Amino acid sequence: MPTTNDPQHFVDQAKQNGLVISVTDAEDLDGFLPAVDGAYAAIREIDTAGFEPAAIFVPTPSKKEAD
Amino acid sequence: MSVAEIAPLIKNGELSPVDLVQSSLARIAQLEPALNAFLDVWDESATAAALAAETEISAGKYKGPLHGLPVGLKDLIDYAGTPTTGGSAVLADNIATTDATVVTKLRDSGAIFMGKLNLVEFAFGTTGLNAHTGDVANPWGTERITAGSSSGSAAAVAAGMIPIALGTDTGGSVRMPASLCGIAGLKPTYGRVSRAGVLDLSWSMDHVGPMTRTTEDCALLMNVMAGHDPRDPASSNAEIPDFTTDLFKGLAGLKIGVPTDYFFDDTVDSEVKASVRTAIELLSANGAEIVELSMPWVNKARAINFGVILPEAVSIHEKMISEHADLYTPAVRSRIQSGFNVSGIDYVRAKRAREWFNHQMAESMKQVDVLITPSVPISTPTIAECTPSPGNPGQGTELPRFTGVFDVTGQPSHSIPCGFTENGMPIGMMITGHPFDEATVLRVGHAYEQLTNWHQRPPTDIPEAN
Repeated sequence: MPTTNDPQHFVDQAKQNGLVISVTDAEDLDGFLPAVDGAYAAIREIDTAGFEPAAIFVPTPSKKEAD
Repeated sequence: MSVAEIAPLIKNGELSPVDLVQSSLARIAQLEPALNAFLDVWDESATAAALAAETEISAGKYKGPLHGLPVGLKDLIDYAGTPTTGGSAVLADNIATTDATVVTKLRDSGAIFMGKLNLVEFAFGTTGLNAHTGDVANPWGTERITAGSSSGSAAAVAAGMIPIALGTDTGGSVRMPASLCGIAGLKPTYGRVSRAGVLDLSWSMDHVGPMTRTTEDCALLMNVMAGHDPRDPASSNAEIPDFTTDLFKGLAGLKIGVPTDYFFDDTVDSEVKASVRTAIELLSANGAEIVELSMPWVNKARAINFGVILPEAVSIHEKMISEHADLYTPAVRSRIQSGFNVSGIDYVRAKRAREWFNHQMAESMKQVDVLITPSVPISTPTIAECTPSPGNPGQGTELPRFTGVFDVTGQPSHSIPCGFTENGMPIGMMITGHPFDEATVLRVGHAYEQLTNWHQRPPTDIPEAN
């Protein structure tokens, strides 16, 4: 991030992520990418320094099958 | 009629479930496909189930207030032996092999399933439009949107086709269409109602909720739908109350928080603001204490909601959209693909920001029992204004600005009608409570409905099918 205005670059970047998108589809993302960039820019501006999330990791419950 | 009005008639034998279901089918036939709320109507199985219900009730085996009541399912919810399409051509041949847990619970309570309801493709959109299944028309003005993604659910209840529908809510998809269609819609606390057997959009934000004519009906539905489910890893073990117990306790002693930021700012439609302010004054005049709350951080929710949903949706759709992109509608294809290059660190930032946000909300909520805000910030746009084109997402992107706040926090949040715009479209207000305190949310909603009659006004002049 931020995303790119170059559809071919978007396609290549997606390929590196293991995702398939055609150049035509990438060209149609013009109206959507500003919202994506804007959302993550806003999230990066949130100062969470010193904040400790309450739920860091919750193990999946498991138990030995009944004999 | 509401569930609470119909149920005693059925229990006492004054109304036959068969007659009720036939009446529902007749109303559907009268209005479809003009509204396009239903994707599939199950005439035969519904009639057979109604006959069985009538036999059971006559034999003294009454199961409770949902026995014999018609229910519609948003087509993300599995009903064994029938297609769950998600409103998409991608899943046209996807036949459910088991019932969703909510379906099992409703069936056990004697409810009668009427069919599958239209929605935004894969629930990934807010306006209610779907280029594959066709747009759903708002019963209050058929040129206008219902909002979504539970578009068919809201339209079908509002138009009197069915008294109960199930919807799902990830950014507001129960509450936005409930607001725009003039019905009640409850998003329960995250984990309160099982998501097992319901197609995911974003596993950490998805909620299943009831959509009905009244708050009391939502409470009756919650009595059946809520509860721990080992099939859903996010399902809560929290104690399940009788959600109807507090309905009649009134407003005395309750503190209602009204945010001074964001929810009533200058960008919010003036008619919407005025109606919600009037509702708050009415609640105050009838015993509630109003507490103004400064929440300057609350405008971060929109970005967090979207920032978590998008990479989770990409993860869910990764394989299908890589193999069948051509089968997705252009709008939803673009929405999902726009997240293809979101970085892992940005997703983690969004998740961390969500925890931070929830801490801020919990601190603010210490002062009050519930918050009251508008459900959506705008008046209802037309379908034409919201129809996307290549490179243009269309209008309506502001719809989830308020509802999405409470998908981020997972709090119970309920939309009920509180007025109409000058052009006759419903306005909704949102009541939001502490996690796992749906009872107080429903108490406030029910108290408001006893003071007003907005929820009793049906839409008129709905064009009938040709």
